[in-house]
Amino acid sequence: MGQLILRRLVFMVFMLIGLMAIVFAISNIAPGDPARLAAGPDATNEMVEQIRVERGLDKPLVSRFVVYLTNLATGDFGTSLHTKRAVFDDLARYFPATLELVVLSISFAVLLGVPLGMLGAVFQNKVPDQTIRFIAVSGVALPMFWLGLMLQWYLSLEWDLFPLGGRLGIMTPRPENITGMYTVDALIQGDFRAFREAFWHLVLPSLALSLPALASIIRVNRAEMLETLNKDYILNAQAQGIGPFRVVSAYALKNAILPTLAIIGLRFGWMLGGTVLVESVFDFPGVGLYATKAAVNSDFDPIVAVTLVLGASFMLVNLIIDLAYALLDPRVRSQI
Amino acid sequence: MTPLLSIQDLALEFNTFDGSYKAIDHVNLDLMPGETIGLVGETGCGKSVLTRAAFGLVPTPPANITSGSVKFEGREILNLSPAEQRAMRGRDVAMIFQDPMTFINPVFKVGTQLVDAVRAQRRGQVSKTEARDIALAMLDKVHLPNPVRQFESYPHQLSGGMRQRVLIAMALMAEPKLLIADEPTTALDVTIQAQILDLIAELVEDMGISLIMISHDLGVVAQNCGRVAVMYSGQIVEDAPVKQIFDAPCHPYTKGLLGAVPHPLHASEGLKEIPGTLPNLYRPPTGCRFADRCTHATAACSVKRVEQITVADDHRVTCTLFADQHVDA
Amino acid sequence: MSLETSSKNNGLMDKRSNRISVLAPVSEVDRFREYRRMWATFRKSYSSMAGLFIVATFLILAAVGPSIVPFPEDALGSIHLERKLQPPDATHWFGTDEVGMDIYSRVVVGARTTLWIGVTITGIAILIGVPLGLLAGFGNIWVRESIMRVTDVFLSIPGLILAIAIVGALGPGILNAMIALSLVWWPGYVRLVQSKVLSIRNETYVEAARSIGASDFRIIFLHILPNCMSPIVVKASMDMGMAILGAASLGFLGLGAQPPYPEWGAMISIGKNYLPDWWWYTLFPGLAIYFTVLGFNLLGDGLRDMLDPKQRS
Repeated sequence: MGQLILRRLVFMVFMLIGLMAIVFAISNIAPGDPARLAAGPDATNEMVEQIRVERGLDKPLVSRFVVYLTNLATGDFGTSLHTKRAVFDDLARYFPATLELVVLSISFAVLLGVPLGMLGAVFQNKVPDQTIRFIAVSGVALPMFWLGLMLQWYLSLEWDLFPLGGRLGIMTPRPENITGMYTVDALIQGDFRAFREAFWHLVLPSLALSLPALASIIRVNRAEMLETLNKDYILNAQAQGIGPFRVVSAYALKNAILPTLAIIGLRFGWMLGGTVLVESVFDFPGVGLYATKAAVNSDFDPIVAVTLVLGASFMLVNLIIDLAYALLDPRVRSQI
Repeated sequence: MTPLLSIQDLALEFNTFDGSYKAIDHVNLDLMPGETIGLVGETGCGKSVLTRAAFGLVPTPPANITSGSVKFEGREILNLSPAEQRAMRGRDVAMIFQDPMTFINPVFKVGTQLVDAVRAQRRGQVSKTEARDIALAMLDKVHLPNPVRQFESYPHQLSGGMRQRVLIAMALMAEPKLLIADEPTTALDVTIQAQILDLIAELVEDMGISLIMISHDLGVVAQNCGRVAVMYSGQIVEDAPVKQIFDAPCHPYTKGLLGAVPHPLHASEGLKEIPGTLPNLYRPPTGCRFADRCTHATAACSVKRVEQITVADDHRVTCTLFADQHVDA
Repeated sequence: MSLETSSKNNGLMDKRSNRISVLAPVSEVDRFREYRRMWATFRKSYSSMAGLFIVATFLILAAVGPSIVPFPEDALGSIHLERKLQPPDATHWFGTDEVGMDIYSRVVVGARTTLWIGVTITGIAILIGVPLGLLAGFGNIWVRESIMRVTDVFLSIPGLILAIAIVGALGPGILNAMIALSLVWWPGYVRLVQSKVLSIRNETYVEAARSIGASDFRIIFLHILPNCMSPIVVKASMDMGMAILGAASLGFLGLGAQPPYPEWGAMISIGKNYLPDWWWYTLFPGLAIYFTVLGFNLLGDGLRDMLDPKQRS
């Protein structure tokens, strides 16, 4: 098991280098002169040339890539043009916010999606199933950013149930920075008011973010449950007289959840991508909003860094999913 | 004496895109307490569907039971609620199936599944520890080597023969009155087959339970059963004590089946095959379903439905050839 | 969603139908019967029919939209400040925007933009992905490994993020957004085709064809591609919806189509500033995106159930 994790982590490093190569190539085939962009619109030619040499932009692509990777390895992600800060510091500030948002969203999606899919399969083609299927079909088609806007319009502006955006009210003191995740920090310090408020700010964005993933989890789990319920071992369990609740929630679910796990991993990627949309709508200061602002300003170092961090998160989640597979399926476990 | 199981006039069809597939055609079958009966026929003749339908294990829809009654100990069971059917399956009727791998849940420990089964069969009136003891005792009875260790194993860690022993144990823990063994050895190695058959025979004898053994192999049935019912395309064409079937088979299809079994002493005689294929059950023939393949067929065979005829004590045939040999049993 | 996966696939029935399909030679009659069965499967499902209906409506609007809308000149930007931000009424069904353009006209004309975006992205993705998938399936270990590892790297990052990175490099704009989305969309097809090739390559009939000396080329066109068609069609239908969603997302972020170009996402990116009082500005373009994507998804589901009942998402 430990060996497997180690092997995967090493593999991950290579994947990330590959990812960096792709993004680096993209940034360099792009039209426009990065040195001039960095120097700003009023710079003279000499200033541009100076920056070009300073940043090593006059060297060949490959050697620049090596330098770039070495910098990354030492924690130097470059400087952001639009925040004027080191990208590493920006990430340290914004990533915990995104993490908080994404963890809450995936929890929503899994904790609702799996039981709903199960329910749909058990009541196949009856009213609950029709309703659940409607949610599942709509959820994938709803534009996340539009859903966010509609939630804002109705629940924040019309009914005033939730805050409009941001991470905390302006007047609320920030909890002391430990993990950077306000809810966690507030809990650690026993500040329940701040926790409540931080959580309240997370509800709408994570709802909007989780819906597409929720929808696919419902779909897949429902389909897998239906297939599993037709399996011989379910027939046999029923033939022993084991009650329907145990048959469905244990004998069938533990088998059906395995393919569902794979979709959870995949949809986590959707969610990471969706953060750019939801964070824009809710003015939520996470890496998604950071990347969007950077892209609008042709500010490349932050984009590369966000790509790297989100790519690494996605790979880590998939590693966790594979470990969960092994935990749930004894046949997989015995192979590693 | 009331039969343990009495199937009367049971008919079942599957509704599919191509129309309704008449899988079971007005079948009668009685089983006395303690009796062992073999249900033989080729693949697709309806032998599995018949027994599953009788105990509510064929999903409806697509299946649809169009007529008939099934009585267990004199009590009609077709119209029981799903919960009552389940209770009866756990307690009175046990089943074992063809492929032991697909009938045992791959992601739960063998022990967990056995304990669950014991507790379900005894309606939760035993504690987990008691259930464990009962299950372990039963594993011992089915001669599973090292039961305590296998208890903690997952199904994929067991061999096919061991898995089938586990399933037999699971089925018999409830001390049922009837055991239905649906091709229990087809998926196993030849050497293991004999062991499993011996085991079933031993347990049935010991525990005094009735047995329905479903098989496409007449030899298997001859060894283990007192009576044989031969099925052909959804009907029981002949039903007699095992000795009668082998010594004096009546139905041409039974004779054909016997001709297709290698004889241990006269292997050189070669096997005879039955020409033709199964009839189309979306539009079954009006008369005898075997007529197209039968060497003795006459014009009379295809005219109207052939009724079951009792030709000797406890020997029934569905064939026009015997219309005049009817005896009142 | 497999809306038709009921318990009809009973094990006992399966065995029988397999037997029949093995015995029966494929004749014209059987093929016709197969088409009839497919169509019956498709028609029986309300959601598939709804998907077909929505997609058909969308295609018609994309074809004739500019000539049927009441204010065609509003589609590409014209200013009527005297009627700005009017709520929906009989003249302006969906209301007007901040410079007085008719939102209904712009939404309907936007269908053509959207169709163009969806077809281009999906088309380019297929044109890149399918040949690479075939190459990976048939090539030697080096070819296969290099293609598949690059594919893995592309799939290791959420598509939208990579697309934003590409647009960030190329600069915002609808063309660049389409290039970016096409570049992140092809790896899915490589995976699909490659796995299909690997599974079909070892089928008995392909081995047989190979053993009598059929070339790889012949095997690809006679055996592999026809077998890949159904999953590709199903995936393409689903991807149309997803690509439309992706392009609208970039438009919303200000990285795709730029106002006043009639693109739904870009419309919402302006409209959101006018919530909640001028809600129609955001509501209707969003509904248009929702229904279009829904239509392609439902159609894709229906096609999958029809063409390949065994395959699931």
